[in-house]
Amino acid sequence: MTTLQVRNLRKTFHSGRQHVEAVAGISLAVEPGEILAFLGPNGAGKTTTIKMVAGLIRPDAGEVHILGRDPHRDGRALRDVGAVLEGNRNTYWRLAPEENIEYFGVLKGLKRRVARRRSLELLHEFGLDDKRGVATQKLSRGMQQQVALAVAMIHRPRLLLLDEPTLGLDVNAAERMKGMVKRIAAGGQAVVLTTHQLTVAEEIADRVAIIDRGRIVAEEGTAELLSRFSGDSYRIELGIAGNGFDRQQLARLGATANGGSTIDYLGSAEGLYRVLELLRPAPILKIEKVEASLTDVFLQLTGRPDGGTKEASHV
Amino acid sequence: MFDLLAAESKRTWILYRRYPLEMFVGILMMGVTFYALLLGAQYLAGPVQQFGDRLDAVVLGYGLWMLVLMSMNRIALLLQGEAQTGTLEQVYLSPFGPVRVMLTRAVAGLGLSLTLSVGILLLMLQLTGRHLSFPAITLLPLGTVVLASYGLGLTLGALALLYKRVQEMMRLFQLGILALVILPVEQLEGPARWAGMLLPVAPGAGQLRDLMARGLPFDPGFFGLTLLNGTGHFLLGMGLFLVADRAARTRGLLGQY
Repeated sequence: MTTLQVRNLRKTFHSGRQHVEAVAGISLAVEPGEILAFLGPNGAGKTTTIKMVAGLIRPDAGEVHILGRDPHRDGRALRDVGAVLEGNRNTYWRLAPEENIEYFGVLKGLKRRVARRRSLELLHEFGLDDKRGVATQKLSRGMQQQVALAVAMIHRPRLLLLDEPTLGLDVNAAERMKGMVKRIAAGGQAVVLTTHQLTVAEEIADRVAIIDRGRIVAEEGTAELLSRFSGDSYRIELGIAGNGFDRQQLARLGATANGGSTIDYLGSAEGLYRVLELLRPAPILKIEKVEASLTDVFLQLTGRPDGGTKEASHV
Repeated sequence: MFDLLAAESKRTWILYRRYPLEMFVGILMMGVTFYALLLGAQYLAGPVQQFGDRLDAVVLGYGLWMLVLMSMNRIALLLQGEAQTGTLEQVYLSPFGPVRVMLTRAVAGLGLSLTLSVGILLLMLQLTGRHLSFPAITLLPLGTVVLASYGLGLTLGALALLYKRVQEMMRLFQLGILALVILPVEQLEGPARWAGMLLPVAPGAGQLRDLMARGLPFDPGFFGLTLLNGTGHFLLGMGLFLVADRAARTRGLLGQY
C-alpha cells in the first residue's frame, strides 16, 4: 500500500489584502522504504506542504492520505506519522532525552512500559546512552537533533517527515543524520525530507521533487533526473600536459582546456571523436561523461540559487 | 488515557522538582499578596477581630481565587509557552488531539494546584488566627469550580492559539475571577440570583462559603445548579477552543510565535 498519497493540494494564506498562494496543486506519492527529497527555494511551499501532510495546516483543497487515512479527518492517521520540524525545538529542553522520548511515546499512543523500553533502545541505537539523563538543553545541536529524530521514531511511524534535518549540523553530525535516515528507510519506513542542502538530497534520496512557487517543476528518481540534465558533457584526462594542440581549434569544437591535462567538452558523441583526433598523439588516461549535480538541475529549473538564507550550509 | 495522565503527571512533577525555585517564588508571591491585602483591609476596617465571619469568607475566597487562577492559566500558559519554544506542533501530532492532551495536562497539574492552594489557605488561616471547616462534601462544589476554571482556561487557550500573547487578557481575567469568587450569589434574591447563577465559578464559590465559612448543611438543589453551571462553562470553553483550533490550522498559526 502506498504510504503517502497527496492529490492536488492547495493553500493560500491571507493577510489583510495580501494573498499568498503557498501551494498551488501539488500531487505526489511515496512508497514504503522510499526517501523523497523535497527541494525548493525559500517560500516555495515545502514546509507548508509538509505541515499539510502532518495535519498541522488545513489545505484549501486537495487530499492527503497516509496509509489510506486522512490526517485532517481521522486522528488515527497520526499514529503512522513522525516528524522533525525545522525551526522548532521538537523536544522539551528541560527534560532529559530519555524522559522526552518516553513522554512523546505515550503522547503518540504507546503504553508507558513500551515507551520506556523503546526509549532505551533508541538511545542505544543513536549512541546516546551516556546522555540519557542530561537535560536536553545541555546537549550539542547535533545530539538535540538526534533526540528529536528519536522522538519522531518512538512509535515506529510508517511515514517520517523531516524538515531540514541537517540544517545547522556540523559535518560529522550531518553525516550521522544522513546515515540514520538511510537506515530508517532501509527498514521499510517512507521518508519525506525537505532540504536546502542539495548534496544531502543527492546522497540519500531515491526520488526528488523540486518545488517552485507552490508547484512541482520536476519529480523523478534522483539518478534519472541527474542523468536527464547531464546532457552530452564529457571530461578527457590526458597523460601529459597537452601543449601540442591548437586551443583555438578546440574551442571551435566546443571543448575547453582546464589546466594542461584536462579537457571539458560539451557536444555530440560524433564531435567527441573530432576532439580526440585533434588531441592525437597525446596519451588519453580517461574519458568520462560528466553528470550534472542537483545544484545544476535546481538552478536550471528554478532559475535561481537555492535561496539558502535560513542558515548557512555546513555540508 | 491513564497512561497519558500518568506520563503528564510525571512530566509536571519532574519540571517542578527540577526547578523548585519557580514554585517557591510563586507561593511566596501569593502569600505576600494576601498579607498585603489583609493589612490594607485592617487599615480601612479596623482590627482583624471585627471582620468575624466575613474574614473567613475572605480567606476562603482568596484560596479559591488562587486555585481558579492556577487551573485556568495552566492551559493558556502551556499553549503560549509551547508555541514560543516550538513544541506545540509535536503535541498536535498526537493522535489524542490537542483538547484531550491539554485537559490531561490540566488534570495532571490539579494535584499541584490543590496542594499549593490548600498550603496558602492554611498559611492564611495561621496569619489571621481563624479556622474553616473542611467537610468532605465540599469536594463536590469544589469540583464544579474546577470544571468552570477549565472552561475558562480553554477559552484563554483559544485566544492564545490565535493571538499568541495573552498576558494582558489573563490580567483582565484575574480581576474578573476575583469578582466572581467574592460575588455573594448565595445571598442574592430574584433575577439577580439567577443572573449570578449563570456566571462561571460564582455559584460553586457561593456554596463553598455556605459549607465552609457559615457551617450550613449541604443543599443538593443548589449543588445541582452549580454542577450545571460548571459543566456548561466547561463545554462552552471546549467549543471555543475547537473553533480556535480549526481557525489556527486554517491560518497556519500553530508553528508561529
